[in-house]
Parts: sequence; structure tokens; C-alpha cells
Amino acid sequence: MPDITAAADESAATRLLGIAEAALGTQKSGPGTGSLGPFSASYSAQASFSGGAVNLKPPNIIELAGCNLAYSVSVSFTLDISKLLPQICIPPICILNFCTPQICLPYPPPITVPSVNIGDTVTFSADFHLNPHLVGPDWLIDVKINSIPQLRFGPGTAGALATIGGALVAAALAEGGVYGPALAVALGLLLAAIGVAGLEGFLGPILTPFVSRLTFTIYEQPQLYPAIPAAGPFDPVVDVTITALDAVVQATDKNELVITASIAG
Amino acid sequence: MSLTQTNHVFASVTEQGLNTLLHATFTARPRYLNYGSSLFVKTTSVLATNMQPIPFPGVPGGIQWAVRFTIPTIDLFPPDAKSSTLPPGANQFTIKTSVTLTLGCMTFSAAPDNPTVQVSVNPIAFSLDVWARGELATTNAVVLQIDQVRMPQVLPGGLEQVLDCLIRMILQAAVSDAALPLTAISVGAFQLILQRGPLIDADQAEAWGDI
Repeated sequence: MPDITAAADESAATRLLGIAEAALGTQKSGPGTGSLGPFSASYSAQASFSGGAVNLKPPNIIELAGCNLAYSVSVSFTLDISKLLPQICIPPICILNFCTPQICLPYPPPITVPSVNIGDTVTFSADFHLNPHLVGPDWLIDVKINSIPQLRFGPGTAGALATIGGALVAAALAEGGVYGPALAVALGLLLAAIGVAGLEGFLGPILTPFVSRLTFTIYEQPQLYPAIPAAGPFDPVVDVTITALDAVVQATDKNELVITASIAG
Repeated sequence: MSLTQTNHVFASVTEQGLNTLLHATFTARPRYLNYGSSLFVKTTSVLATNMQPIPFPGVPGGIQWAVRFTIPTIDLFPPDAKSSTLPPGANQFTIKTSVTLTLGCMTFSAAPDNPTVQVSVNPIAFSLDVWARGELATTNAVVLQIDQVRMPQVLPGGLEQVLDCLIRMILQAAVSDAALPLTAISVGAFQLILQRGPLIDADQAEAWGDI
């Protein structure tokens, strides 16, 4: 029989998860590469988690519903005009027996679009499982995601698409030379065709790694647990050893997260 | 019935767990069980607490004394079979310890006009089993509140009453200095804001609250 029992209902468990979300802090990924329609892009991303309501499901499932993933992606594009527009050529002009040669305007070198920062919040719901375990000198209770959830993008995605479009068009006009105006029109048409769905398709693989192995730590204490902190030169810390630790979801008249521990002096 | 009942969080420690915590506390801080005037405890340290001698006119330097308790063991309601002298009632505990009272028995010359009084001290001591009963104080920690002490080995009755009261006061002060924070009975799972308890039931100390 364990010596110590601590229980939290769904309301308290939601707050414990909130503390764990904050403790996880900002996660980073990249640099990486991806494709937004015909555009190749390089990116780096960061994300943090907040919110969501905990539903406890016996014996070992914590459902987190409506968790917010706030992301920020810094993305830069390279525009290779030769792959987007046909070359502009002036056909031969013949007067009597004299013909001018065909003159083709050379493509400008590929345009590197400066980094664009886009960010928004996506929400997801997922089932997690409890994993109490000893890591070195510390006991941890991790809440680990069971499967990759579906990310629900918000209305901010359309704004992000507009931001990207604005940056691409500006770069096209600035560095596209004679091809600039045509390129700007082409980019507008391409981005309209890509649409919000295409941007979500681009962002999905960037953001999914943040959630695919998502783990929150709701408990972390040293195995040599300081039951009473030191309080002066004559009152040293009082330690006990946590010899075993477990965490389960129990269902009675309400569902509870129950943590049990055995201790030794 | 859920553990949290109408509250959001719950924490409990069993009788065995509480004894483990008490043993750890008094092992790390034995000074809460050992007191004495300077003849027996030169200075306060982790091991013992220095106290003033009992002043008495004509006794050179006052009466030297020491009190030492063994690490108490606790029995939470319902009583264990071995608990007998003061079995715990509902929401009560009994602790069992033993006390050693030591007196610096002085011999000195009765010569008030002699500035160089010859003093010899012979420590004498006796030990007694102590049973104490009480409940948990309603505070944001696990604090033992001693209500009653019995030392059945002491006769006659009048002497027992005096010693019971003396030891109750000393023991109360000793154990209340060793309060267990509520985080200890959740092994740090959360910071419990006390709303109900701590109460004793089914060989456990239990507390309810919020975080």
C-alpha cells in the first residue's frame, strides 16, 4: 500500500497541465525546406502551447481538448523566374530581305525573397497517457501524446497567405527587372490558386513535429525528496526517499488523476 | 466516493508514511527532542537545544536539567491493537515515546558570605514511557496538537498529574516545531491550499483543498 496519495479532479488537472504547458516553454525546429506550390522555401519555426481542457478517462488517458499551439514560422523563398514565366523574346523583323535576329531578354538571376514571419494559433485535441518514471535522480510523471492530432488552423492563415503574397510581389517588382510586372501578376494568380488550403498543406508538416511527440511533465521531484526545506543552521533539510511512484486515472462519482508514492526514511 | 469529494485536490499520508516522515524529521533534527541547560547542552546545535537553567535563589548558577525524548511513533484512528493506554478516538492520534529527565544534582556549601562556594554536580536521571493523545491542528501544515499525556508508570497519582502536565507542555512544544508542510503529503505533486482538514480517518491523515 502506498504511503502517500494525491488526487486532482479534472479542474485541478487542467491547471496542472497549464503549468506543464508553460514549463515546456517555446519549442524550436529547423532550419528545413518545403514547398509552397511551385515555390521552394526554407524555414525555421517555433511553437508554444497553452490552454485546453482536461478530460480524464480511466484507466490511463488524459484527453486535452482545445489546446492552443501558437506558432511563428520564418520562411524565405527563392523565385526562379525561368520556371515561372516563358522567356520574353522579340521575334525577327524582316524588311525586304533584311531580318533582325530574334532577341530574347535574359532571365534575371533567381530572386531570394527576404524572410517573412508568419504566425497564428492552431488548436488541436488529443489523447495522452500517463508515464511515471525515474530519470536519473528524479521522478517524473509525463503526459505523452498517443497519436498525431489533426491541427485546426484559424482565420489567421489567410492573413499569413496575404503576408507571403505581399513579400513575393514586392520582391518580384524590385528585382524582376523587365519580368517584374508579369511575374507579380503570375505570383498573384499562383497564390490565389494555392489558397489557404495550400498554405495549410505547407505549414502542416512544419508544425506536426511539434505535436507528434508532445510530452508534458506534470510532476518532477528528486527521488531524495526534501519533505521539509532547510530552515537555518540547526534545521537541515529533511529528506525522504520516494521508492515508488505511480499515476492513474480513477473513476468514482467523478474522474480523478491519482498519484501515489511510497517513501522510506 | 471520489477522493477530492467537493474539493479539487486531495492529499493523504498513511500512518506508516507519517511515521516515516516523523522519523526522518527527528533523525535530521534531533534537537527538537533533546533539550538541556548548559551543563548538559553547551550550545544549540542540530543535535540538541541549549536552554537556561532553572533559576532558584541560593542555587549556584541555577538548577541544571535536561529532557530527552525518543523518536515518537504515531497511531492514527482507528487504534492499532497494541495501542492501549490512550487509544485514539475518532479524528485523533496517539503517539508513543519515552522521556528521560535528567537533573544536575548539586551539592554545595550553605555559606552565603563565602564567595568561593564549592559545588559538585552529580547527574541523575530516570526514563518513563509516555503516551500522548491529540488531533491535527487546523493549519496549512500537518501539526500534532497534544491534548493529553499519560505516564502510567508514575505513582502516586498527584505526581503523575504534575509530570503529565509538564511533559504535555514540553512534548507539545517539541512536536509542533516539527510541522510537516502539506506539500510533503503530496510529495510535491501540487501546492495544496487547505480548505478542509487535516483530518484523521482510516489510519490516514487527509487534507482537501485547491491549487
